[in-house]
Amino acid sequence: MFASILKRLIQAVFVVLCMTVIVFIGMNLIGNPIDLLISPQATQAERERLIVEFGLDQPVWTQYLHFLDGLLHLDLGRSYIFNEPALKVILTRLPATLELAVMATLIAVVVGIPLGLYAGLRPHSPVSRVIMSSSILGFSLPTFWVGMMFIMIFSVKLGWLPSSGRGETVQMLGADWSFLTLDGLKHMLLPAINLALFKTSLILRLTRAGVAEVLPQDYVRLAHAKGLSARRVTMVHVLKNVMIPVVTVVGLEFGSVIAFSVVTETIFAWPGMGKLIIDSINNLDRPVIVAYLMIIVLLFVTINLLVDIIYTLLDPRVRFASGRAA
Amino acid sequence: MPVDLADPFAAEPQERARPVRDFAREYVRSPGAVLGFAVLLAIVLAAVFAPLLTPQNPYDLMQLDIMDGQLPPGESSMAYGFNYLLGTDEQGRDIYSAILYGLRISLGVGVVSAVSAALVGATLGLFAAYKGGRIEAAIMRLVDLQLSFPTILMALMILALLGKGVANVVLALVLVEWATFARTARGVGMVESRKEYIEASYVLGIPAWRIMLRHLLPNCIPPLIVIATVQVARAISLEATLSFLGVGVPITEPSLGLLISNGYQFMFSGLYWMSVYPGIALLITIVAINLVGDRMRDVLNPRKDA
Amino acid sequence: MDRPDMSIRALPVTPILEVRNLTTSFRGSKGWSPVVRDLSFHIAPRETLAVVGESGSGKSVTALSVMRLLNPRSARIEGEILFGGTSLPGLSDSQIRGYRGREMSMIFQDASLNPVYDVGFQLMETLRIKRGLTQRDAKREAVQLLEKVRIPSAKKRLDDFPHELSGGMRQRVAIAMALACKPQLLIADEPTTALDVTIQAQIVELIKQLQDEERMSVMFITHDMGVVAEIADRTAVMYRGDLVETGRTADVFAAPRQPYTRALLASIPRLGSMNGTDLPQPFALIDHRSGEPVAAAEAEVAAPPASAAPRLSVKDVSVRFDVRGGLLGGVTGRVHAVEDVSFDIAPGETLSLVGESGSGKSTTARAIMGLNRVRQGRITMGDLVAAGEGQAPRSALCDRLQMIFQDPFASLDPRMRVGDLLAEPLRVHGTAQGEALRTRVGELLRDVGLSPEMAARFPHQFSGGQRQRIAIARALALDPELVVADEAVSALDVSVKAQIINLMMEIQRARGLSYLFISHDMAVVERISHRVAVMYLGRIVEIGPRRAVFENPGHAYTRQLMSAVPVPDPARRHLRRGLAVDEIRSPVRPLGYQPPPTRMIELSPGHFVLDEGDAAQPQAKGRPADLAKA
Repeated sequence: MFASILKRLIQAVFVVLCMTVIVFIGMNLIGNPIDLLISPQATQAERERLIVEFGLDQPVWTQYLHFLDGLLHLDLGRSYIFNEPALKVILTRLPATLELAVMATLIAVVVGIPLGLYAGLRPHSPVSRVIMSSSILGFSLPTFWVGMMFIMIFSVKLGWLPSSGRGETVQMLGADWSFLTLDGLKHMLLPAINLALFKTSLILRLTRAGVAEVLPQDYVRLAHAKGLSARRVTMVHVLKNVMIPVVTVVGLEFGSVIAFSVVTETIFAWPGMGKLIIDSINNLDRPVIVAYLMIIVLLFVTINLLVDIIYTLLDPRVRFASGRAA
Repeated sequence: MPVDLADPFAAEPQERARPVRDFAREYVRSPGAVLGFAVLLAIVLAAVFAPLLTPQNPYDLMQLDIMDGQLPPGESSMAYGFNYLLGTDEQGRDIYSAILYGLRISLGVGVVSAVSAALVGATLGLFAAYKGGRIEAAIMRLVDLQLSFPTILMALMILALLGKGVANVVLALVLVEWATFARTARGVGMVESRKEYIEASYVLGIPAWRIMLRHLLPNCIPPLIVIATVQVARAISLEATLSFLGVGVPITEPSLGLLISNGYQFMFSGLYWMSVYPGIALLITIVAINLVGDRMRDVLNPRKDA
Repeated sequence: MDRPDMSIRALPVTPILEVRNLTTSFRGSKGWSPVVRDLSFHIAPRETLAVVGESGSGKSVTALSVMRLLNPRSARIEGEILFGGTSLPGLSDSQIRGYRGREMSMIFQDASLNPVYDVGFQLMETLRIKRGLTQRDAKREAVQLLEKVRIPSAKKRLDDFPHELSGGMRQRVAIAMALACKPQLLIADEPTTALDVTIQAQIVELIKQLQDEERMSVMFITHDMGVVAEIADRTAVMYRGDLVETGRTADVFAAPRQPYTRALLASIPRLGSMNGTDLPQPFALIDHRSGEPVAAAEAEVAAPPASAAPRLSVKDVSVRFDVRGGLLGGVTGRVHAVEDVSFDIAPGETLSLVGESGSGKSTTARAIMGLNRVRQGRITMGDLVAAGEGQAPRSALCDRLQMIFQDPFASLDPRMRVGDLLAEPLRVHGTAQGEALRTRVGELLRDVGLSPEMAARFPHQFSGGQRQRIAIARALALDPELVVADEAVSALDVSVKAQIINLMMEIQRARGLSYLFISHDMAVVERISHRVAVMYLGRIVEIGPRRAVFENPGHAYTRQLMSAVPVPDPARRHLRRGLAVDEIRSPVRPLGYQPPPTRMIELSPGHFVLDEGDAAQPQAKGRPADLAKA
């Protein structure tokens, strides 16, 4: 078990290294690195100084090592726009994105799993058909369009909820949080639902598919043959088997929620990492883009690692094997 | 000699196999899916014959009249006399025409990217499944790496590097979606290639390329078609999102996503039609494709009887 | 085992279970269609009723109907089911739940324990909920139950998960769970079908003993007439949803009244029925409608001339698979699947490889066909090397060496017409074209007892037996000298199995074909073989003429294997007392393991036994999980 976690850890480090290479190649080999790294506003003298400073006159692998060295010292350059260390710029936006993503995931889980269970256990009931049809709608609707409609209906027409910003925030652990105030929660509601919509459908359908797969299994039949109540068969024997893959996917999809917050944050002017990255792309603020990418890579690798460990803990069949098949 | 004297199934000869007809018969049992198919067909036809169905070529600036800008639905053109069914945008572009032309871009990007991704992904996936060993490990590592990062982010980054453009969008979509196909193809391929009929073919001395093309591939097609259908919808949605974020198709060739994005800035001043109608068109297209894909998955799923 | 005196049963006793006019229908696309029709039977207290039938006979559906485990949406039950006088169909859901597990229990084919809970949880769950025991009492009782089903070190097994146990152990746990509330009736649905023959013998014996100890009735569902003869007081024979015949087991076997029963019994291979003969002999089959003998050639298959040079020669062959694990995924052990195996096959001869799972018999077959890589040694087919150093290309070998696979539903490409399937090898190798090709395909189909018109059909339009005929036709397409049949009849129903074996012998006689026949079924092997090799843990432990091996088994394992085979003859019911709890040993070895050299001792001309000296049995007494843990 310990060996298996260690093995995963080594793999994770390897993935991070791979991504640094890809990001490095993306920056240096596709397009002109001078344009990418040096602000277009720089003077000629400044350019030449910076070319030497960034080591662009050095061979490629020296540059890569230099880049890695910067990463290890948490030095990812300075943002042209904010004139602050890029890493710091990103990290100040991280809490906003995290709380939004957590809230959206919670909504998706709380809505998706029960509905999926219901639809799986009663596949022929009219309610299940409605649930399944709605889920098609749920993963068909483009997030950005739903966001627009939300604003138009709930903010503009009905005036129930605010359409932009984080609202009132409270300081905790050195960061600002919206979920601790009523006003903040109000601001968070629309974007969180917007972000949750796709994931809700996904989790719902996954849960239903899981139930459909588990129900005909012989061990469910055996549980009935033991004379257990239908409720116990469902809650004990079916549920755990269904939940193992669902938990895994919820974990893995958390990363994707953070990524999709790019769209939601842009529409709801939510000042998180996602909005920042779009602004940075439009402003050609390369250090911020690189810093964002590296943070995302780290975040994802960590999530994948955690999910793997949780999966190992949940499923006895994997617990004893040396590793999960990819 | 007597055949199967006590064979429980021998006395009930099954009717001839008609895979396509069986599929169709099973498919039409869901009214929603039939509706989805009909709508999708109409949309595709409308996109293909857009020039014949629209009063205006929305890309031809000569045909636009700035005086007709921001007209609500139902107003008539000052210069040309035809009716702006769904209103106009700020440059006097007929929204109805723009939607049909936009559909061409959206559908085109979606289909081309999904089919290309399917070809690349399925080839690599099946190859990995059949070959096994190091080749398989290398391909699947790459797939894992790709799949552990969300599509939208990958596409965003690729486009940030490559710049806008229809071709670039297609390239980005192929790059982010081949992995899904590769994983599915490899999964199905693994199941199929372990079946005895593949080994039987090997034993009969049938060349490897023939085994892959004649035996393995046809048996792996159904799940790939389902994935491809769903991926067309996803690609359309992703393209629209990217265009909305301003990194997708260029303004000269607006897809549905870009139309929505353009109209967005006018929405709060009450000019809802510029954004809402393209949005509805996009929505109907994606829902229709997903309805078809969902039904196909149900029908083709071998476990449906279990 | 001493059975209660028959005279007691002659007294009128209220049956535990009485089923009257049971009809169970399933909902299909064309409305309700009956799967079990108008079935009536009863089970007396402490009696064992065997319900026997081939696939599609409705025997399992009958059991599920009694337990009311079928989904009422898709299955409809009509008729009367009385359990101890109470009508089951009239009960509410919660009432029937009170019967399940408490009054009547059920075990299934593959123990079917929930994979995500440990053994203790699943056992104690029944005890707590159905018997209201406290956690502590339930734990104590669970250990006792495991001991009752003779599981060694029962207490430790409570923490094991199902996948850590072998199939036989899992079935024991399932039985323990079924006995938790001392039920009056145990329904066992094919409980030994998935198990090896030595394990099957243990489980059958265990059920018999427990029935005595617990004084319960047993409804034993099986397709295996041998098991029926071993265990049942009375037997009910089912065919396509109808009860064909029921009666005392001895009577059913001695004097079957219905043609179908006669046909079924005629097609069963009986171990020992060939004693005193040297040559393979086809089954004398009976038509199941008329009850008349089927006119089939009953000639023996002649022995190969003693001087003939061998067609296939397997010399010192070893096959190993790496077991990977540990931090860097390195090789931590090896499965010694085939160890130093040698044998020859002469023209027109059938050699059978027989053994249980993990014995390496299928791996040997696959190595010969080039489907598994040979680590050491060499396999030659005439002047060509089939495997090992200097291996000839597949295309050169495939007109000499062919194979029939186990699963007729998987071995034919479902998307190709039968005609194309048979034509493909001919076309690829340029053997025939155009009209000649079509004629050849027609001939092949006729050779295996099918009609040439069937070439236009797809595989799914055929039954299992017909598909296996097609697979044989395909193997014959390139006119090979030797055909490897890897468990080729194992997946077939008994009556079909007998037909396919007869067909194989007929083809052998007509073409002078050689067979390497791989099987776990001693009785089938006895029928078809000229010579037999018994494999255990990757080695041949005994090889020789069939008659010598079966009548004078020289190796302890051969004797164990033979005594475990259930004999379809109630009069010769085994009198086994010892209840060994053996496991099939694991062939996983640590790296650097040096197998002992293979020395064979000749008992009689051509009959060899492995000399194991002091290094008798391998130490590792492995469970399947060891493979994963390694």
